[in-house]
Order: sequence, then structure tokens, then C-alpha cells
Amino acid sequence: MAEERDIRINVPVLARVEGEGSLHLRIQGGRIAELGLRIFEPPRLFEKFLVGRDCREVPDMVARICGICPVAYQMSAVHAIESILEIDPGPWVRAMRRLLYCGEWIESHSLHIHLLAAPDFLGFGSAPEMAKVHPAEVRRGLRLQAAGNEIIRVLGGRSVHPVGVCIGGFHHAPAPEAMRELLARLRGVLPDAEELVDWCARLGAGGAQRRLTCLALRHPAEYPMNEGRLTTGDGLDFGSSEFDRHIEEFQVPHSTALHALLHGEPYLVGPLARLNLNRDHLPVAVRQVMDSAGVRLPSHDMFHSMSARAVEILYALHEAIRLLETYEPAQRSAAEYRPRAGIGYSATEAPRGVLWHRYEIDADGRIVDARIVPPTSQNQACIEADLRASLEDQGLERPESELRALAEKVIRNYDPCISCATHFLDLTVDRL
Amino acid sequence: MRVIGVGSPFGADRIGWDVVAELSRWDELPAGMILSCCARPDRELIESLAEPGLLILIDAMHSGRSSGTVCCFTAAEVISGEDLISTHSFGIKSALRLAEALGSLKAEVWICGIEIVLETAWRGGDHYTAPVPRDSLNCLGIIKEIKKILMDFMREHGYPEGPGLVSSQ
Repeated sequence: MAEERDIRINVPVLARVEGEGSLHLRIQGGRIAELGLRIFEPPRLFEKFLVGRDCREVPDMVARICGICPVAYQMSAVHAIESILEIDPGPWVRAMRRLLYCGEWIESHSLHIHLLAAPDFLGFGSAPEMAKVHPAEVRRGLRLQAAGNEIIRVLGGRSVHPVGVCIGGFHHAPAPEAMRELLARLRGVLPDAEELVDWCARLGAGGAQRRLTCLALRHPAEYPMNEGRLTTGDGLDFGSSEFDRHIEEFQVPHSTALHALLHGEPYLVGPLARLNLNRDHLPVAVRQVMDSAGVRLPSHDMFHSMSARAVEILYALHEAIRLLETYEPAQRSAAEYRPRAGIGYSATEAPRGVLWHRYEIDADGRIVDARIVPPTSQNQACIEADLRASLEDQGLERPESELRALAEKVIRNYDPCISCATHFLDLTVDRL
Repeated sequence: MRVIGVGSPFGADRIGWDVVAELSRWDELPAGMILSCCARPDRELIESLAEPGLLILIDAMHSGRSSGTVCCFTAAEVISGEDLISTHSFGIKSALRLAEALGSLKAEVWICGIEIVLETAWRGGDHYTAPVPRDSLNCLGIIKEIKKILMDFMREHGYPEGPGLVSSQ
């Protein structure tokens, strides 16, 4: 029998500006006595910045919340505000917003798989170390990420913090020639995406098996991005305006960020949750690649998130190609509207999961109140539960270095904003 | 000669962008100097490293030197040295190492670091102070010093010195 140890692991985590976090873990008498993931989310400040601003400024302002998923913040914001202003942007805008979101999923997921998470799965300390042994795979990731960035650049004006989105639509319609070039580029990386599904299916498995409560948007006819109702695997179904009736945000002592529970329980948002709940909306071409790679759904192994991201990259490429094949520039790229007072809600599917916005505006179109619930905040309780299960499954008697490595892998696998720092766990151990 | 300001919109981390913005207003901006910015050491920076030619990266630095100190390092010095350059967790060092591992470090890279004061300096991470006011870049002589460094590079490498182009992202 392994000797029982009392271990206190404090991980004063440094993260990138999209979020800062730390991990506190105390093992006493062979059991986890304390475990707390602390994440500090900057969007709270943005909510206050928005108050008093003209609602037309919101898309550009919220894009600054995250350098990796600015489109998600723009999409949730414009849909919520348009619901107040009773705007119907029409099918052209709807299609282009979907295309824009495809770009963000492709670039964000590619970055996460190849540069942030894969080193954990392959046993490397960093992406540069992995690149020495797997240069082709890293180059593939950069190609895919570049393709996603290019979609955002064409529609958003630039790939980082895009500025092309406005209330009612887009500031301009891309020229057909630019869209034809984009289409050719996306077709060119389709083989990369197909290969990636197979590669990730061989990489990502072996996480703690436990029942996951998945929450994702569900649309009657398509894989969800901008529209749909919030659903769970066990039949819960509600609109974004009912978010507060089902999801409770609350403060925990060990974190300045709010946690969220769905009817009192941790829940999962993100690619694995989306795929578990919406796999029937994948086109045949994507399902065939999945089946061939051995991706089986639904899955309650969190390490299958790698495969889920790869499948979503492939799906987003197919969807973007489909939208581009029939592209024609609109005569009017944005719907007209008049200011109107009211309260609006929207949930869209950010790369990391459900991103919920609520806005109240006055009759002049100024923001009276704003609330933003990002996916990382919603996943915090799930990450803590996963950490506890994973560490206990693997054995708490393992050396601290192995516990730390496993904890990092589990956390990064969720692609939280704090993963922007590729190696953020700075470990100190106190033996009690 | 390409000059790229590396940074983010947050606090003192934007100093690389602000320096490039100041340089873009330079009346005597040389013809052979192309200015741009990138958001942190990202994919676009890695692509820039793959293009042959002289490439100067301007970034915030935390090394314990006096605030406002400007230091230049070669890519080799940054790759082999401690992570003194850049406040980014996936910093310039990581980008250089990644490009080197991929065999795509084709540019002659120099890193021009500007020392900033961190409110809290955590090992391996980052924590930013308030932005460095634009005015102080000139008051502290930072812009003047960087202009001199850039002109020296241009002369040494035989680049033209007439009016130039400005590009930025």
C-alpha cells in the first residue's frame, strides 16, 4: 500500500490577458481535501465599460474581450441587440455571419489542438519541442489556423479584433473575387482537416469517465452557431431569455470569478457538448471521416474534446465552402433600424462553448445594462470536478510532478481562456 | 527592413504597438523601412520569421533593468538565453524556437526590447501595469534611441534612406 502523504500544491497561475487563473490542491490522508481552480475573467469590466455607450459601438468594443474568439463576442452582442431593435438582417447577413463564425472555429480550434494541447498528449514540454519531432503536424496546424484567420480577415477587415461587423449586418460586402480566392484556399486545406480528425482520434482518449451534463445550442435544421435553443442531453430545452431561470451564477470563496451551475450541478459547454447533442446535423462527408477515424458519439471522456474540435474544424470548412460556393455580394450589407428601448438576449456558440449576452438599451440606443457570461466561467465547476476525478483515477500517490502534469493536461484540454498561456502552472509544493 | 511591434491592447504590453505608431509619424521614415504590428507572437509573426531579410521586433521586456531601457538581442541570444524578453507567456522566444524547429527561421532577426515595470513579476507569466503614456515614450528618449538603432541597422545593411511606406495591421 502506498504511503499516505499530505501534500499542498499551490499553483499561482499566470495567464494571458484573456483570463488569469491558478490551481490550489491539497491532498491529505490519500484524499483530495481541497481543490480550487481560480479564474479571473476580464469581461466583467467590459460590462461596465459598455454602460452609457451607443449600442452601435458594442460590436467593436466586445471584440476586444478576447484575442482568440472576438467573433463570438460580436455575434452574441449583435443578435441580442437586434432582438431589441426588431431587426431582421435577412438571409445574406445570416449566411455571412455563419461563414465568419466558421473562420473563428477553425482558427481557434487549430491553435488549441496543435500548439496548446497536443504537447500534453504527446508528452512534450512545449510546442517548439513537439515541432522538432512532429514538424508536419505543427505546419498543418498553422495552415489551418491561417485559413480560419483569412475568413475573418475577408469579412472582418482584419484577423485580430475584426471590425467588419455592425448592428444589422456588415459594413461592407466582400468582392466576389476575394471570396473566390478564399474558397480556393479553403478547398486546399480540406485534406489537412480530414487528416486531423484521424490524428486526434488516435491522440485523445483516456480521460476520467463520468457522466457529463452537456449544454449546447440546438437548431432544428443545422449544426448550431448563431441560432437555436439551449438544450441538454436529458431533455431540458429553453431559450436564451430564460438563461437565468436555469443557470445560477454565484461567487465562490477561492475565486473572484463567478461560477455557474445548471440546476445546481456542474455542466459542460464547448465542442464535445455541441457534438454530443448535434451530431445528427453533421453532413455525410464529415460523418464518414468520423466513422473511418473511429470517433464514437456520444462520449463522456473529456479527452475526446480533441477529436470534437477536429471534427468541428472539418465541419466548419465544409460549411464555409458551401456558403462560398453560392456567394453573391448583397446590394445592402446591413439592415436599417431605429433606436428602441428594451431588453435583449442571445446565446451563440463560441469555440469554447455557449456565450450568453444580455443588454438593456434606452430609447436613444444607449446601453443601460450589460451582462456577459463566457464559456470558461461556465466550465469552471466542470473542470474542478474533472480534475478531482482525473487525479483520483490516476492515483494521488504519484509524484507531484506527475500530478501537476496531469492537472495541466486536464485544464488545458478544456481550452479555457487561461490556456492562452501555453505553460501556466508554476508549481510549489508544501508537505504538511 | 521590416519592423514589427509585438504586443496586445493591454497595459504596458502595448508599448511595441505604440512605438510603431510613433515611428509611422516620423517625417524622415526611410524608404526601406516597412512598419507593422502583430498581436502577440502569433502565427503571423511565425510567418514573418520565414521571410528572408532583416526583421526587427519591438516588444515590451522585463529583465530587471531600469524602466525605459532599450536593449537589442539577436535571435540566437533570445533562443538560448533566459526568458528575459517579452512579457508574453507564449513569447518571442517561443515563436523563434518554434520557427527554428520547423526550419523556417529565414529572417535575420533582432529583438529590440523596452524595459517596462511590472506590478507583479511572476515567474513564467505576465501581469501588466497601466499603459506607458505615449508622451513619455518621447520624454524618456525611447523613440529617439530606437530611431538611432534602426538607422544604424539600415546603414549596416545598405538599405535606402529616403521617404518610406507605412503599413500596419
